[in-house]
Amino acid sequence: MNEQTKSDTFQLVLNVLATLAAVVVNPALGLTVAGARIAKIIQLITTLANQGSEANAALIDLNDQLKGLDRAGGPIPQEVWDDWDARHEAAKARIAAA
Amino acid sequence: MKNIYNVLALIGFALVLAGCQTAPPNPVATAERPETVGLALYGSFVIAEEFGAGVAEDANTPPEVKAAIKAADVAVSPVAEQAQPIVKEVEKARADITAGGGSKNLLDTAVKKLNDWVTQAAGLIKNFTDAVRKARAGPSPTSTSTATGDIHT
Repeated sequence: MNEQTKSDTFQLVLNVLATLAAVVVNPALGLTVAGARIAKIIQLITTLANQGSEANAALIDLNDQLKGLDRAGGPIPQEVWDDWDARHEAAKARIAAA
Repeated sequence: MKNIYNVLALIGFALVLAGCQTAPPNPVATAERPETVGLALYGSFVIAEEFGAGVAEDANTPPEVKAAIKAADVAVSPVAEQAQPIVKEVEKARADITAGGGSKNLLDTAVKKLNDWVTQAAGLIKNFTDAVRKARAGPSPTSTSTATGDIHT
């Protein structure tokens, strides 16, 4: 994890704790509101943590793929490009539809 | 009192999350040839794009962040999609030399074009990952992958 990412993650953690502290010390927040807020934050962190983990695994796979291609030498096989192009098109479509 | 236990549980949860992260590899640094550097940057972008798609789809992501991710993706996609034809030019120039034809100049020209593409794409990919990072989205897959020097034949 690079320094910026560490900083982002740490900031995220601090934000969670600050929000929770506000929930604890603020009696005006009812239990339902507090519970919903905590659930939403935990859901967001879990989603981001899972996505980060998937991205990290994907980078490791790409790294291994590159090592294999460099060992083999020669042109990059067309199916390698086709696979990445398909993933790109899928992600692009998801972003456009979000 | 119940809230205190919630806080303690969440502190533990947050620390576990922070502690579980490991340094992601840098595919652009791993690649040993101009051709694979091109694929490394394109692949890293696609991984960042997949990550960005997840952030954009998240109901908790603010609309302005989603809009920024969409705009950055529209800007970077046409450039990223040039990776394959530009890499293939390098491969062809190299194959021609191997087959006894072609010239070193043609290969150098093709590699320079790939270098120019890497420079252009890296800037746009950084813009994209910056847009994603604004959602406080944690790991940024290409953040360590864009610091590339010139590619040499």
